[in-house]
Amino acid sequence: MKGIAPVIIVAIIAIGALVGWGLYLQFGLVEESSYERLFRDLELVNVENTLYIIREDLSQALLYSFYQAFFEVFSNSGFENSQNGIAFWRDYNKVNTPPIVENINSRTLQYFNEYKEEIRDKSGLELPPSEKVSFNLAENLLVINATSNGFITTSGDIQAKIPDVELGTKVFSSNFYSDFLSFSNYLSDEISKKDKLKKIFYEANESTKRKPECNVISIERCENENPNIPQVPQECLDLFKNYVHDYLDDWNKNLRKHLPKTLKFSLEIKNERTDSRLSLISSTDLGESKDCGCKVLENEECKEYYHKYEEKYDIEYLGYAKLLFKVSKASNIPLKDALPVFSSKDGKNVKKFPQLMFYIRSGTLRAS
Amino acid sequence: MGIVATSVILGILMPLLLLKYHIDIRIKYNFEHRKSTLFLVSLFNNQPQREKFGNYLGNLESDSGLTEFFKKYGVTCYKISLPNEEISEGNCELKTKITIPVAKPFNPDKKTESVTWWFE
Repeated sequence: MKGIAPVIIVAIIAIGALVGWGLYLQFGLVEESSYERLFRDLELVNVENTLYIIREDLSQALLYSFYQAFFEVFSNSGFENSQNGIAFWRDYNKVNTPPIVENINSRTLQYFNEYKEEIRDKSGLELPPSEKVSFNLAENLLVINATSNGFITTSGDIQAKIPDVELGTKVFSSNFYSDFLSFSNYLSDEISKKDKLKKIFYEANESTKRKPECNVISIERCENENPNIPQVPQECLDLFKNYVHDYLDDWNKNLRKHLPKTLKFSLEIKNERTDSRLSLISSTDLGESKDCGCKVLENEECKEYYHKYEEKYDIEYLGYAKLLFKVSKASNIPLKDALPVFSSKDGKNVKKFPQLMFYIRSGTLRAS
Repeated sequence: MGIVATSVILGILMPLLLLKYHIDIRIKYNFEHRKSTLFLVSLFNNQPQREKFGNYLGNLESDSGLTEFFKKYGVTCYKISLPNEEISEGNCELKTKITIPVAKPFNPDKKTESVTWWFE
């Protein structure tokens, strides 16, 4: 019995320790660590989701930035800032075609960084500003990328970060945007590379002159008469005007051929002037003519009559026009492409279709 | 023998059972939490729906579209606190809360709204 006593004592101590350990695990360590881990896990999930959601939210912010930039640049005739009214893309030889895509691009970047700043302030996340926005057309889709070199980083106990590179990639499902831009670029080429309007007036001039009576005017004039500049026949001026209108119509039709189905386009002649200019090309002496009266009179007998001349004038037809171009979205397309934008005119957010309007002024006659 | 058996139960089996219980709770809570916020992630990932909600915040849509959206995902209990209103559905204990600044259509003065999302 004596020999068993220490064993029993050890066994009791062991059992006591085991029970104590069990109770400690039961009420202390396990519960504490378990809840600690649970909250830590939930916090991690929150951080992970917040980062992911903010990233997706930035993607939407990029889209809104683009909408606003697109709307504003088009409202400003393609320029980045307001031109105080509808701007001229061509004013005679002065070409001022705006770099539309670049302007939309830089304004998108500006607005997107403003969004980022506000999201950063409200979320407490570190958001580096984006350095570049790029547009890529792929199979009638417009893809927008905003890139920066930093990370979106959380603050607080759990530090987490995700790369901000190529953030906010967005694909539009509509080809309206790409149509709008490509047609505007086509118009820009038509107007800046070729002074098409001026060419129209030249061509109308050439066509009118194919009619002999509208090409050269011949008059006879006595040398004792004051030079009398002849009048260009009204029918020739009307013919020239008709040619101008025909050629403008042809141009309009040709532009329409390049117009995507989603767009509406109009060309409006705001003010037009036509005129003519005469230049003396020959003066032929037809000799003395009794019609012209006596030049030298001796003893009541006319020794010399005034000479008669045949003068030929070349007619040049001149014209000038100011054209208003309007490019907008076709009305039969569903409303989904109206952009949610801020209209400074209305002072609030509205849904609007962007409209590009601009003038060209050209011709062979400089308007007074 | 009785003392030994009680000690083993109290000292080994009970803590193990309790540990399993805590792990189960942790997994369940974790799962529930992930499930709740997953809907939110899905919402932000769904571009048309996200834009509809953004436009709603910018007063360009009369309906946020959220009720329809969450119904599709089987979410029947939630509350969304917007600056001037609350959108809620169901009657349950809302455990998960996330506050996110949500981008709305461009406005020179205010480009985002802080929205708090509560889920079951």
